[in-house]
Amino acid sequence: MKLYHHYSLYGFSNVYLLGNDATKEALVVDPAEMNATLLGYIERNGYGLKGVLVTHNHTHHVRGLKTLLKIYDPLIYAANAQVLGFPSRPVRDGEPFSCCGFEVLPHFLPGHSPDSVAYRVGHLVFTGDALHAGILGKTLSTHNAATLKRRLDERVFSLPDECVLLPGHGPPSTVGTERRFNVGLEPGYAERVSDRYDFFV
Amino acid sequence: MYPYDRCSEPLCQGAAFAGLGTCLRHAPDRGSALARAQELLSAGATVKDLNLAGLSLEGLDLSRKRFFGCSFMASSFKSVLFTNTTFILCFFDGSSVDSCDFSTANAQFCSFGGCDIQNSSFESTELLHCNFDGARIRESTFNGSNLYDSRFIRGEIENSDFVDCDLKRVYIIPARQANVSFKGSNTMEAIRDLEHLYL
Repeated sequence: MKLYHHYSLYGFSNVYLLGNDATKEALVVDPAEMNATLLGYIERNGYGLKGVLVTHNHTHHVRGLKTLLKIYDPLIYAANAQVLGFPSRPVRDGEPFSCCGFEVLPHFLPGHSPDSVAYRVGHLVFTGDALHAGILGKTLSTHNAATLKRRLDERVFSLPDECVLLPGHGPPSTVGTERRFNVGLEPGYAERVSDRYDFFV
Repeated sequence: MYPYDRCSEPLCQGAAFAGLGTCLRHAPDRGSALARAQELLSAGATVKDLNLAGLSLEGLDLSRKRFFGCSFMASSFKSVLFTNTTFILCFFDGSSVDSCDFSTANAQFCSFGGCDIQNSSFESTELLHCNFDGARIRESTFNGSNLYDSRFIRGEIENSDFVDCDLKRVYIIPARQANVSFKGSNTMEAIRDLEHLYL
């Protein structure tokens, strides 16, 4: 398994490329942009791009789809049936699917957006904007914050400490580090959230 | 990216160490496993995709090496030279770093979450998109470093310097901070308060 991280200046977002050297296939997580760097990762390794995992349909994470789909013909996986007008294959919470020889397990984590999904591939968890290093995803109400926190407790913080968290923005982390140090897990966090709370993207 | 296999010892929650079916704690011969790991690290210029969680190193010179996709979680580093070393997608969470020299190192998209860092130098480093959340940093220096998009949330920083650093998009929100200098650094571009985040 090869993992590449690409930092997109469009929205300061993280784009990930996960390659399978056995099948020579790769998938992209959250194509904020599609540029020569990302193309180089794919082509230098001789990968066929077979899948795109969309953690949520915000433009900072999907804008590169338009370019990407002019070059490759991958299946798009998302919570919704369409992303930027392109048809996608809707995923179901907790129902694994196979992509590029990887078993991908989607976890719905609504709160930041209604369609937020994290994808787990082995010990890697692509969290999108539901969870960042040190902070929870931006939510606009106490209800959404509480929902997000509850789902994270059930689906992410129940994973082993060593599981790697790969967020949509900012540096990576691990489940163990987030469980101990994420400010969003402080008691009373959800109650303090308001719509002026200018959290990240 | 490093593989993550569970230690074959029943009930053990640890990760299997590179080349072993068990974690280091349950290795039949811990000494030889550590010696083998040291050889692996010292031998080539580039080290890729190794799970070395629980590693213990002292007095080793790993300067100018290149590490890609390795785990050094819950490890111990004492007096190790990482001068001009490159780390991409490496994880040091829960490790102890004592009297180590990371000066002029280049670390990108790495995590040092919950690390205990003391008497160490990160001078003139490129620490881009690095996670120091929960890290306890004492008697250490980050002077002249580029810390773009890195995070220092809920950690403890004491008697340490961040002089002449690039702090653009850096979250510096420690739980405790004492005797820390940010002289000459662009603190206005750092995020110091969760109530006033930009973007």
